[in-house]
Amino acid sequence: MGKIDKIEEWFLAYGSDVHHFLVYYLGRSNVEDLVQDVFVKALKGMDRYEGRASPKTWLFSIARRVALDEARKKKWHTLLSARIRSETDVSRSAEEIVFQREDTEGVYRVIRRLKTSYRDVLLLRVMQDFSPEETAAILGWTRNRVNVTLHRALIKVRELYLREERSIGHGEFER
Amino acid sequence: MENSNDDMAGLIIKRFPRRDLEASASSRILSRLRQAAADEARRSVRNRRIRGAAIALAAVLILLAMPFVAAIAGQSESWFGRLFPPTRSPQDWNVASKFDLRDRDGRVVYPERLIGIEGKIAFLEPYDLVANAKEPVAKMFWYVWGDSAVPGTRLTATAVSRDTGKRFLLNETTLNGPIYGADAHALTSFAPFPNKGLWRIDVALNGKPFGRFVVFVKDEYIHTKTAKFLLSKDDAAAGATETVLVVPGRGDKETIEVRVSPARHEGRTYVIPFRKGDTYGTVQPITHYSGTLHFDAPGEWRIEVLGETTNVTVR
Repeated sequence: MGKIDKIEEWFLAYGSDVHHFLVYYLGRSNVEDLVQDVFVKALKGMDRYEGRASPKTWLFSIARRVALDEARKKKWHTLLSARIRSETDVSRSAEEIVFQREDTEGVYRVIRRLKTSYRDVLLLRVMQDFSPEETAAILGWTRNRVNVTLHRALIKVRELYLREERSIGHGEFER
Repeated sequence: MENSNDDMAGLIIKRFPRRDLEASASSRILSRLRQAAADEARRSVRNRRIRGAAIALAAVLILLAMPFVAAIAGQSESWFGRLFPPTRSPQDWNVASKFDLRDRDGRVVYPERLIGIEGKIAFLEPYDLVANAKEPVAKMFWYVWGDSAVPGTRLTATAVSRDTGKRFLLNETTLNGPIYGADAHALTSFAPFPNKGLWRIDVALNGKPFGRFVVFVKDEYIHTKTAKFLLSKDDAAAGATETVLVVPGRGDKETIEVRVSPARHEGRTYVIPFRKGDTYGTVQPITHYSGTLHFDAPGEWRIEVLGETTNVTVR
């Protein structure tokens, strides 16, 4: 099977999962270019892949790197546009993007404010339902670190979510 | 996930609504992946050929005595012709890949903004090509490389639609001198693409076919009878999207309210303020208003602006 057949097969199998992940990781809907980036990178790096990991975990490790790069690139832009938005418009936020249910929205809003390692583990281990071993392979962590970080991340989510619930009405939200 | 509250957070995260790739995005990505794979294969074949050619050449030089070298060199041109066939133009409907515009010293001027045939002909792609829209194609740059890139040459581009077979004159212009790393260029306007989908652009120089490549054109802008958003129907996605509303006139209102409501399902109606920006033109002035369109979820949505409505399918 040629490289292109393989990459097409992977894209058809996991393209939507990668899309889903990137939408939530970055908090925006338009991630088509980034999904493409992930698979082009996989195509170019296929010689190095050698079946060490499952293709899915390998693709997600690429997707996470692509997302982190994108987040870095967008950081200044976002800081600036967030300021503009706060001056002109209080009715919408990135968290409202996909949600209809308030509990879901609140939890997502909290996740977006977490540190990267917490967000990584919540989105991969819980939302994408990777096993601890798979999550460890994607993040380059040990299985134990995955479990410990997940535990702490969930506690943090609960704590921040409850705090946010209490301050609802003003949108005031401390880290 | 040891206590019930942590479990609850986990359950909520598991219940985040699915955000799958839509079919049209999938097929676009697939087509670009095929293109990337083909480019990659071509590069590796070329590298192998260069290695092969170098070995063959060395062998020939060693085997043959000096007096014969000149004669061999004469033949080697036809060898090279066979070893390096000219780059073929696309025969299929794969969207041409984007590449960098570089200056004479190889420095990148615009990264990944050119679309066409690398080292031959390309135009600087607006961020989107949109059906039925003049705005994205109002200011277009052609770049041409190679011996045919002579100032004064007539460039004619026609476009043919894969879906309808319709062909139209996209652009006719005259080449000017070198710019950046290109041997010739032209600044011009294209005729708008009449419908969305894949379009093959056939370029002729002085009436002689020169190159062809395929571009993707997005669906038309979301619009009512008089107002339009600079947002393609293809980009109507659940979530928040910053955009510009174009309204005829000098803009007597500071704010225009845009109402977004579900067309066929239950849900919230949003009243979104769009704030006045710049006015353009004197004879038929238009005014830009900026704001953020917002759709809760995929599905059919109604947009009402200035007493007119339009429906849009949100993905």
